Amino acid sequence: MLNEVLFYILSALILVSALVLISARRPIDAALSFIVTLVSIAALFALQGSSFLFATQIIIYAGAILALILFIIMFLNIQDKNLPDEPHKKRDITFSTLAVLPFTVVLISLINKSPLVDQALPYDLFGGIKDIGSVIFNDYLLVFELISILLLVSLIGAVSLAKEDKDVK
Amino acid sequence: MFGLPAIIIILAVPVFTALFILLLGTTKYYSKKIGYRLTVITLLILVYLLSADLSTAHSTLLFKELFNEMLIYDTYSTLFILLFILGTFLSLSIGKSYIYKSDIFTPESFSLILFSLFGMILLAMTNELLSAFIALEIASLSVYVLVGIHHHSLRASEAFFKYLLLGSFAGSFYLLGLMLIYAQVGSTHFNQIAMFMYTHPISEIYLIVAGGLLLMITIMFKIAAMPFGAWVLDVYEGASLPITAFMAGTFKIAIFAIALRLFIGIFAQIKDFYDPLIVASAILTLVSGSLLAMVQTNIKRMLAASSIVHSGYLLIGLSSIGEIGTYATQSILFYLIAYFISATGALGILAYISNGVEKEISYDSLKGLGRQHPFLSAALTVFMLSLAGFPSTIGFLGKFYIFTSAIEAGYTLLALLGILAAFVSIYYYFKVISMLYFYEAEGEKVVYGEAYSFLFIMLSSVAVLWGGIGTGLVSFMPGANAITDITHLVIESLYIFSN
Repeated sequence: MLNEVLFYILSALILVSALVLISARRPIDAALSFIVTLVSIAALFALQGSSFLFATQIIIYAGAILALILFIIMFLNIQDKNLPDEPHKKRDITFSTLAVLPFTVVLISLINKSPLVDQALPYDLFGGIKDIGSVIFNDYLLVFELISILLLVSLIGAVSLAKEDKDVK
Repeated sequence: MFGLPAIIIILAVPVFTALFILLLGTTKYYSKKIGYRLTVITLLILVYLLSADLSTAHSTLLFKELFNEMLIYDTYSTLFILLFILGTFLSLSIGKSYIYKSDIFTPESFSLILFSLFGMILLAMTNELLSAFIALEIASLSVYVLVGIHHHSLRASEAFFKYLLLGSFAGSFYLLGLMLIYAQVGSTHFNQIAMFMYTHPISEIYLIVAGGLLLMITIMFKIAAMPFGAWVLDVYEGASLPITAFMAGTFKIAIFAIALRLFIGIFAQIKDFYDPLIVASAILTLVSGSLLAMVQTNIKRMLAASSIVHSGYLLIGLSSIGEIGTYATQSILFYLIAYFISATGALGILAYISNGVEKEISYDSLKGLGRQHPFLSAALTVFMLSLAGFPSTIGFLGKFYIFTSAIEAGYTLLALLGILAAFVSIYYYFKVISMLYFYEAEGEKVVYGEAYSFLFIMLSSVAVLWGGIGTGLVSFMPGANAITDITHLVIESLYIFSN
């Protein structure tokens, strides 16, 4: 019972902060409300007993990535006058929400009909460091290795796009 | 060299060469010539290792235990990997003059081309949804950066940002769909998803249908099918010409490698849900692509718009894959081969005559080229005829197979629309040909040089003609019917139960 109440509170927090994230005018507001989203998702993991997921969600997303984003926003020192004019932003968000609404409704009703809803969480909860490790290194070893190449490619890409040419002709 | 050792080399060599070029690029021993030659030699080695495997229908799971049955090496993947390697090789070989004359090709760009090739090779071999996503992202991310690698050009930077943002957004649909399918099946392997659908009633697999729909959105974005294909014009225009040839000729085929495996493999039973959507998308793509191509004044943009139309023809093929399906699949494979060589050749010629300078090639700038450079113009004419689907070129056979398979599957009206689009395409392709031959030259004759690029332009235009007419003339040379035989083996290999 307590779990359910907590779940609904956290879901509401996630939805509201995600809304603020896309509708905020200043990037710093968006970044701060994004922290709320990520921490609430971490709390959802904790609610399910997924200790490792909880920790990585906090450390990687809320800690490392968001700190970096905030740092960059402050580093760029964006003033209000630098922000682009978005006169129709509210209208655009409303209409795009309405456009995907039918699909969302269908999807929710499908999920409600599927046998997944009746499945209670298994008693020995998944999401500790041992479970995740064994899944990654037994079942998804190839994907794990491929992600390292993906990261390498994005590293090369970022550096080669950002670097100054030494010998511009 | 059939077998496990060869395929391990094929996976490892592009990555190691890419890393080697990257490391060499930081030393004083590196020059563009070395980077280029290393890349091309790597590609040639790969072709040599692979080409023998096309002659049999085979299917092996790679490192079954270690990789958890995620990679499958069959004739299907052999054909596609060969096409990717040949496409990369042709784009680089025809683009050699451009690459040497322009100064935007850094060591990173060669290694990114190889990384992209690696991603595409994996995409052709993958037998599972998650690794397919990562492979797709490796290939796309490299292509994004290649588009923007000319970072002093505003157009290239704009194209890069547009492509990166829209591409990542489209990729997120794939993840959502993957999540839905996994939630229902509990597995991401193609064969287990298919097995789940065999053993469960239709009322229990709606989540898979919804998830598959989301996967299709990503695929349609990547092949530039029309509700999601508006990025193509700006991105193809912003990229430098050899890269545009690489994207249009090779990267597009890579998406079809996974799309076809999905459609034949796991969506075969629920394809009835998707058919109306594919048909609608095909109609939209054909109509809007043709309209866009007609109004362009810049040839690079025209070819970009016409590549949308070609996606439309391929969608006709996809929609006519039915229960008996193999004929439609064969026709798609044939069309992909025909399209890849014609598009790479046409964009390659543009790269060749632009001489390494990023400038707009309008129709007017081609005036009188027929008298100044007769061989080059003949080759360009051949590519245009093939793209338009003129008889006696390989493009005609490709369109012929696509339309007949559509009629066989009962989509007569759709086939008629495709034929109509092909007629319209004659307008914008023949405009190029008329510029070549029916106008006086305006400028002085330019010497383009670089015999190596010229040689490969000629070779691919001969291949385009040979694929269209060669078979009837010389019986011992492989021509169009050899391609048909290969596509037959390819499809046979998909149904081999591999272990």
